[in-house]
Amino acid sequence: MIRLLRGSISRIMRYSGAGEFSRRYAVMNAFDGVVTILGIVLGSTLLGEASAGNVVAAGVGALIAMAISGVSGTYMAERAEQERRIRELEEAMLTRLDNSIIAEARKRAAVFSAIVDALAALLAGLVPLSPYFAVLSGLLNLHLAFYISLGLSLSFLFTLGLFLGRIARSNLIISGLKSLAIGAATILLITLLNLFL
Amino acid sequence: MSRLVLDVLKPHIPDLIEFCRSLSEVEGVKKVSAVVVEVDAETDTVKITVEGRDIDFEALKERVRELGGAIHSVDEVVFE
Repeated sequence: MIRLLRGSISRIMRYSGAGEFSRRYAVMNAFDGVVTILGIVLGSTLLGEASAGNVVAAGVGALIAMAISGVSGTYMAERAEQERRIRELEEAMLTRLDNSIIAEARKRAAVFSAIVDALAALLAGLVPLSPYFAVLSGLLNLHLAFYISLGLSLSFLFTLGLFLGRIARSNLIISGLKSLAIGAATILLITLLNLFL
Repeated sequence: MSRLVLDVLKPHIPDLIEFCRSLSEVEGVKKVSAVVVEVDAETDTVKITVEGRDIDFEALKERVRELGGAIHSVDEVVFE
């Protein structure tokens, strides 16, 4: 069953070029997920004394919204893109490609990209949110959870940078640091904003 | 029908190896060989030779269509 599924996914990737798109969506949305939670954690902690429950509720709400917007947005955009490719190929072939494995793989690729997109944001966002779940179950105190969450966010961003560096075959550390800088910029901006509010 | 030479237009993907492997799984087919005649921006023109015993031409045609290809002509046929 798992072999069948893997075979089918690898075929979708090969016939539709979805591998590259999915990878792009995964990284982009993992970024979104982490930075959104970073913003919520920072904003709620610096601006006022939010309880762990508040942070978890806001965080989970944001992640669900991102997952839904990810699924629907990516599916529609990707479906349109894949259908255009099928039409182009049909024009070149001077024949219809309905029911061919190419058309089938391309249609499934849109669903696959949409799922990857939503899961990436959701799972990546849960990482920096996890210390607050620990607070809710009485394992951590709020103060410590804040710093652990910041640490998790920044290390996740660094890891994503490493991953991007590996894809680009460029210097891994520099790529990681660039990605880390995005997190640092977010922290700086929100901290500055809080000084004026 | 034991031998068929087909002129086929196919998209670049699936590639020729996968295309021929899939054709070799059609009933009656024992051997498939292919030569690329022309490569265009979106398509390949290939000459495919199919050998076997009692080759099911309809199934073969259907498989080519499923793979996104189109048979343009049948250039050689052998019955034994």
